Formats: sequence, structure tokens, C-alpha cells
Amino acid sequence: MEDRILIKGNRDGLVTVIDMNKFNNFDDMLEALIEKLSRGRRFYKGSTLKITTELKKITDRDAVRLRDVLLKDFAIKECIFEEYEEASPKSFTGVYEGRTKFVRKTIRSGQKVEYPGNLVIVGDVNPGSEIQAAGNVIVLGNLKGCVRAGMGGDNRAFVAAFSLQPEILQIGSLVTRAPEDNDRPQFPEVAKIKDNSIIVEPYLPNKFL
Amino acid sequence: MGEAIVITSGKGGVGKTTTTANIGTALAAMGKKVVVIDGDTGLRNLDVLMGLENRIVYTLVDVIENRCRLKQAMIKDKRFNNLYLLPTAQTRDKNDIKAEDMLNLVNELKEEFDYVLIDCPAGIEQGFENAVIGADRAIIVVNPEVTSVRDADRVIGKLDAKGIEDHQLLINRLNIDMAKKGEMLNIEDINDILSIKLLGVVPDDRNITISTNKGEPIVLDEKAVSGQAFKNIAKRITGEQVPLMNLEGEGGGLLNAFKKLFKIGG
Repeated sequence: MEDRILIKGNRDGLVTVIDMNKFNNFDDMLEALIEKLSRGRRFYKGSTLKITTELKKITDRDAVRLRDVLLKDFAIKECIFEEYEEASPKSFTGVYEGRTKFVRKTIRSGQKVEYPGNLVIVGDVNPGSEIQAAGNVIVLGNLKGCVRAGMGGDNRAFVAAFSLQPEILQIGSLVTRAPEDNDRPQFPEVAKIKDNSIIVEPYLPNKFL
Repeated sequence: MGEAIVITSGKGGVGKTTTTANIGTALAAMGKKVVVIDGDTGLRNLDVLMGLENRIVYTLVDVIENRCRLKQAMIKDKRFNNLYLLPTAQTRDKNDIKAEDMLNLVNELKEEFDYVLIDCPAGIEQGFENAVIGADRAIIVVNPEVTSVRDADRVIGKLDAKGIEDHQLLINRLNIDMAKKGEMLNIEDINDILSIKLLGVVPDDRNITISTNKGEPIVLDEKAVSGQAFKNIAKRITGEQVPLMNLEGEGGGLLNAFKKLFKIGG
């Protein structure tokens, strides 16, 4: 729990690194920060504090609130916000629950969508396009392009589509090409890894077998 | 302030230039002020289709390079006083034109004309960039072939990326008999992949070849089905609601020819 907020000193002064992903919301974080700072109240007085975090996860209003708390309650002289840059992107492990991008359009030939998390496409994925995600890929439409899931090396990732007919399908390190028979099931399918090979099954295995 | 429409396809030979000439002529026949621009620098054809090839003195490249005024390069159509052609150079290539110049040109023409139709060259290189830069909307021409549909898909993606989200599909050269037998893609198959609004369907018609060679757009031929299809499309462009033509029962034979005639009336 303690690495949610890291306070460290360097040449530039005090730097507070906040990992917003580990908090439910801003208030949660603020509470934790206040608790942490309260332990050394006198130490922080009159100092300049740099807040390093993913700024897009904090609204302007919240940023003002945070500054007010720091300046008033802790008598901090100045507070600077800075964008948090991940030194090395950690491999994504949220295939059951984790960050997800939603794309509400058809991905056409020549287009590419990449995301370091789960990816949901509300639209078709046409032949000649590429979809790549660190987690799962779900397509609410026809999946006819090239799809890669679990690119962070997670073999538990899956690919699901209303109509699963990809040109190339990759999960983790396993790659397969579409079979050349013309079987086109009329129900949604899920591709996943089982016993070190990619299998495709109906979205509810007991419903259609 | 008029509207600029680019006619594009990705693949070559699907009928972009024919479409441009016919829609331009049909719009002019409806009384609209129209200019058609040939975007295919180095391989120009639009002038031939309109039968204006021997009237070209100055071209679009001359305008951009300040060798003449815009008015001097525009050629008035033989049949309609409110239809103009802005030809391009045959001895230059597409990289000689900057997208920025093209944008200025189209914007200038939009001031004066109701419709500025831009005939886009095949491909997605500089010629395409030049043709689409000034466009407010796009007409994507496809033939009922897998190759054409795939290229159209790529082009639609490119247009989306450029912010041209108003695009409509024109299916050209549909042979209804072949489509029915499953030998050719049908309208549903194409829509399944491209999923964009259908502007119209033009049936396969050998009269088009004749009209191209004569330099008279097929819309001038009252009897031609394809001409009627282009006229309907022109009406839809102006915002009129016209139902899709019934293409059933197409085929050779005198009886069918009569059937066709009656369907146009009805």
C-alpha cells in the first residue's frame, strides 16, 4: 500500500509521486496524502513540493483543492504539478479487471489501433487493419483484420467477436492464421489459449455444442 | 458559398471520371452552377469524356503557377452555360502541385459555383492528397469486386483521418444477374464491409463506353438506364429524396429493353 504515494527528496527539492491507478478516486488519494504528510507536518512546512502524477486523472478543480490543502493545512510554500512519466512501462496484468479503451468506430484497411490495456471495438474490424492490445480484445462486430491480444506476454488474454474471422490471430506469443474452410458460425466466438495452443469456441461453450 | 465534392475510389478504372462527368452534367442540367476539376495530373481524361479536349489552352497548373487567371483556364461546356471544366496538365505530374495551392483554388471556386466536383486520381499518394484537401464531402465509387471494395475501405479510413466524415457510396457497374447468381458481390455484401451511406447504384451498361468515346456524358441519353441512375444520384446530391431504381429484370433482348423503358417512366 505504501508505494501508492512516494515522497522523496532530490536536488530539486521534495517530489511526491502519486500513482492514481491505485486509488478509487481523488478523495481517496487526498485522504491518504494527508495522512502521510501529517506524520511529518513540521518537516514539510515552508517547503516546495512537486507533485508527480498522471495529470489527466486529476481534474482542474481537484488540482485546486489539492493545492489549497497543501498550502493551508500544511503551510507548504509552493506546489508544482508535473506529469508522471513511467520509466519502463510495466507489463499489463489486467485481463480480468483493468484499464480498457473503447473505440466506437469501424477500423478500416490500413488503420491500426494499439493500446496497453484491454480494447473494445464497437464497430467492425475490416480486412487489412491491425488491432493490438496488452490485454483482451473484444469486437462488437465482424473481426476480419489482424488481431493481437496479450501483447504484454499475458497468455490468459482472449479475443472475442460477434463474427471472429481474423486474418491473423495472436495471443501472447502464439500466432495462428485463419483456417481456409468457409465455416462461418452465426454466433459470437472467443479465442483463447489452452494447453499451449489457440482454441476458438462459442462465447458460451455449452450453448452451441 | 458552394460545396466541394471529391469523387474518389482508391482503385483505378472503377469509373471515377465517368461519374464526375455525368454527375457534373446532370447537376448542370438541373440548373446548378457546376465546375468539374480534373485531379489526375499527367493522365487527364475528364476533358475527353466531356468532349472538350481540343479547347484546352491553359490548365490548373498554369493557374497555380500564375501563368494565367483562373477564368482563362476554365472551359465552358458545349451544352450547358452553367457547367465548366478546369482541366489539368498532361505534361506534368502530381508532385508538381501542392495541396495548399489546391485548397486555395477550390475555395476560390466555391465562392462562385454551387458545386465543385473534384475528380480524384487512383492511388493514395500526392494526387489523392491534392484532390481531397478542399473537399467538404466525398463520393466513393466502387465496383462490385473484392479488390475495389478493399481499396475503398482504405480510402474511407484515410478520409476519416482527414476529417471528411460525410462520405457516400456509389456502386458502379453492377450486373444484377451476376449479383443474383452470387457471381458478383451484391449491394448487401458491399455494405457489410464498408457500412457507409449508399448514394446510388449504376448498372453495368455498354452504352457508357460509346458515350465516353463520343465525348457525350451518358446522362444526355434519355434512353440509357445508367444515365437515369446518374441523374437520380445528382438529385440525391442536392438533397432530394429519390428511391433506388429498380434494376431487376436487366439483361439483353428487345423485351427487356422495353421493360427498362417502362421502368424509367414509373
